[in-house]
Amino acid sequence: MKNIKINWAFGFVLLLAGFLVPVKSEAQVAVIGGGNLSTVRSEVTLENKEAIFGYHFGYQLQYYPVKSLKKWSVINELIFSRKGYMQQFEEDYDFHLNYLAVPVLINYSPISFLSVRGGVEFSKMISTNIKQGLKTYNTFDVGLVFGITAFDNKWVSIYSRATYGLLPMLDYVEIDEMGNFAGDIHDIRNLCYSLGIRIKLSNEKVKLYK
Amino acid sequence: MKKLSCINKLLVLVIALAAIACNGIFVPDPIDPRLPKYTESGNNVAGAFVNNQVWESTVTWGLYDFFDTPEFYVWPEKDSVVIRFSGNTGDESAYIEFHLKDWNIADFEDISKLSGLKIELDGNENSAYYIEGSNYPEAYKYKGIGQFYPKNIQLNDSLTSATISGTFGFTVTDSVGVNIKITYGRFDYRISKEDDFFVYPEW
Repeated sequence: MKNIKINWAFGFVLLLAGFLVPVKSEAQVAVIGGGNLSTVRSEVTLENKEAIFGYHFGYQLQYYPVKSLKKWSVINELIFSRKGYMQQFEEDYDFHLNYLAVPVLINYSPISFLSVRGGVEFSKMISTNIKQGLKTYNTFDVGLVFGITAFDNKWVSIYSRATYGLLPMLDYVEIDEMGNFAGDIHDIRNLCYSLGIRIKLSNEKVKLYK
Repeated sequence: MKKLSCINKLLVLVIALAAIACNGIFVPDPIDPRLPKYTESGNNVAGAFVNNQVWESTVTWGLYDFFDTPEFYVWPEKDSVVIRFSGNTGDESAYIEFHLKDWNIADFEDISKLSGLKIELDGNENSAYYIEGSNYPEAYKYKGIGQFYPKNIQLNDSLTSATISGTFGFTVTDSVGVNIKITYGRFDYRISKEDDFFVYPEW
């Protein structure tokens, strides 16, 4: 039942991202893609934890809802993003967590070739390399996003962003070395640093209305 | 030649099905992926640390190797019940056994008496043994002290199969005072009266 509610919530967020664009605004459509350096933060000790490289790609819609505030814009994205982490013992254990993510960002461009942005990212884990991983981990996540973009006024721009996961990915039990159940664990949150390029499909702002 | 090819295909299919049927489902523990996650699903898997090594029930197999299935056996023995997990530590096969006294387990359905009980292994009434292939039967001299916790035992309606899940941890000290620490043990098996429970005739 909980999963059904989360799926409905994620669907609702997708709807918001797709349809709640102010219709009387100018917009730019772009494709984005790049690399991720991701890990997790946790209160429980994850021994020999290391970050891993992943990737992301998707589309971006940037629109300017208020004509008088040309430096401010809103960005909606729909991206596939591979996050995760690894633990190194005698062998490496990679945890690849593949998300479909919908960042909703506010963008501010103090100068024409540079902008900063921040917002929230709603994401849903859609697959993983871990056996029964979708049962082990919570699949819905919300994160805070902060980023910067260079050459924002060009066809091709470079962006960098950090995503700070807010929701625990894991609901589990803590077991001590003798086998006692010491309590519940609600822990492990995503951390992801991304670097990528954006290619505008049109360098002109497209009017979303006639 | 064509007939031989069909036989080969059939043989491969049988081997594949046997492997699927026998091997446990190793879901990695999200805190330490060397061990199986604690589950109560009948995944036919167990794991623990033996000092700094990993003991695990699921065993890989090759074309020329025999199948080493994740075995779990329970049998009454005089006034005790014996519970045995088979597995490997490194490359060596190793059993973990629990001998529990005075629990009156004579039939398969009696194992549910243990459900939810933290059983203290005192090395006297209740004991644990860590038995590697190379130190059998010498290992039975050294009784482990610790805890066996069959947290959840669910019998099916016809009392012919059960899911048994739990944890364990104990320490064995050998004759020269060397400790073997078995820690973070967990298990999750689906067992049947026919295949996993034995009643031996008394001598």
